[in-house]
Amino acid sequence: MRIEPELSTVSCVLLGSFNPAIFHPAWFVVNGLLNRTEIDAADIKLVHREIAAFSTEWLDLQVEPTRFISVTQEAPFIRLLDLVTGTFDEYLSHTPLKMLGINRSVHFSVDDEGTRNRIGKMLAPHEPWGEWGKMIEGGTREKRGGLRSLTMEQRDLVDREKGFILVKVGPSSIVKSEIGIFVEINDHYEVTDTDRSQGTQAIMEILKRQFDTSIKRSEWIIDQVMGLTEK
Amino acid sequence: MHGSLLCDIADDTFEAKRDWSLAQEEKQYDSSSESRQYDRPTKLEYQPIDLSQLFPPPRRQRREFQSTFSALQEWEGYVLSVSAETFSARLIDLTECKEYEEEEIDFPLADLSDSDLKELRLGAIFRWAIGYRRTRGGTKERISKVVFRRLPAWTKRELENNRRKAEEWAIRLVGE
Repeated sequence: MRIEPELSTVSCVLLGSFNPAIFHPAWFVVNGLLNRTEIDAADIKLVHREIAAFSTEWLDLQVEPTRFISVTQEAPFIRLLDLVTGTFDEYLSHTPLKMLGINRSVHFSVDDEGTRNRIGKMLAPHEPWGEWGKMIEGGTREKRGGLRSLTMEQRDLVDREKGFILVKVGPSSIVKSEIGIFVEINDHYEVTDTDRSQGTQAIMEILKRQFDTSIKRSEWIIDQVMGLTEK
Repeated sequence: MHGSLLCDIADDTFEAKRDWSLAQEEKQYDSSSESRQYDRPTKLEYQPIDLSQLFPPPRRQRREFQSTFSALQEWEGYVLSVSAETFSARLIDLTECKEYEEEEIDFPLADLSDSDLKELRLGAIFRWAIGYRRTRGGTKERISKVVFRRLPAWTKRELENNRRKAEEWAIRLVGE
């Protein structure tokens, strides 16, 4: 990516059937998936039959009855892959998994407000909105309107049975002074065969095969948006 | 969703505590010989429970980010040798999408965390990333990070699949 992000996130989200109560940090230590030092400094929010949530130096984990959400903002992102595959390939291989999301998001600065506004208008021009489009601009900087959120979808994908890539772009709430852009990629995979979704094998094979590729592709897409700063 | 869950748990706890308190008050009132000096309350007074003392504050969907580390360059490597102060490794440049190891480098053991030192052994696979760590406060520092991969042992299923594939290939080769 041509611009170094101010916030960089990768998440791996699984949809299936989970028992949140077992996902205590100690369980990960006992099974060699996280080490004692990481867990001793962990921030344990809650471990309950309905939800488990804790954070370590590099990991945010939240487990609900139908979702397993693992997030990191610290490279190398491969740690996330190793944690998830270790959990569901080795120890919980009978967990029914149906869907997988490998998600990448960044917040980056474009250095000045004018550039951000220009990019917003390239992605979502005001002219097609007619008379109302003229009103969007607003009379003052404080009341200027424009692009809030734009989502594009790609469905024609040869690397999966079923799924899509969603890309969402909008102004960043993290980068200060209204000069930031936020891009989020949701790379979504589904297992269509009911039998194959009764365990973890199908989804784990997809995850292992696609993780690095997905991250690279997401960063390539993000770079397309970053490239608008030069146009 | 989490807020309503916490309220449900709190309500259950409050009702249990209230029922227990009522039972204690009844017991105390009945057993006291001085109880006749007091008017029997027609309405028991409850001590309100401070729910904020029972549960932590509701959790945001994701914690506020404290720091983020983006890799400018990343390699995957495996350990060739280990000495008293360094280990050597062969590396594949992932950022340049190389397919073969092209570099060999020595790393100081002092660069490894205590937990990663335990993972250090011949053949161990790791990722090495260099880049910038940014904090929420706006500071930025260049860092280098080595992380050993926690790769699972071959599962029975994988061994069986590999064995089956090897047999298929052997049959094809013999056939040729």
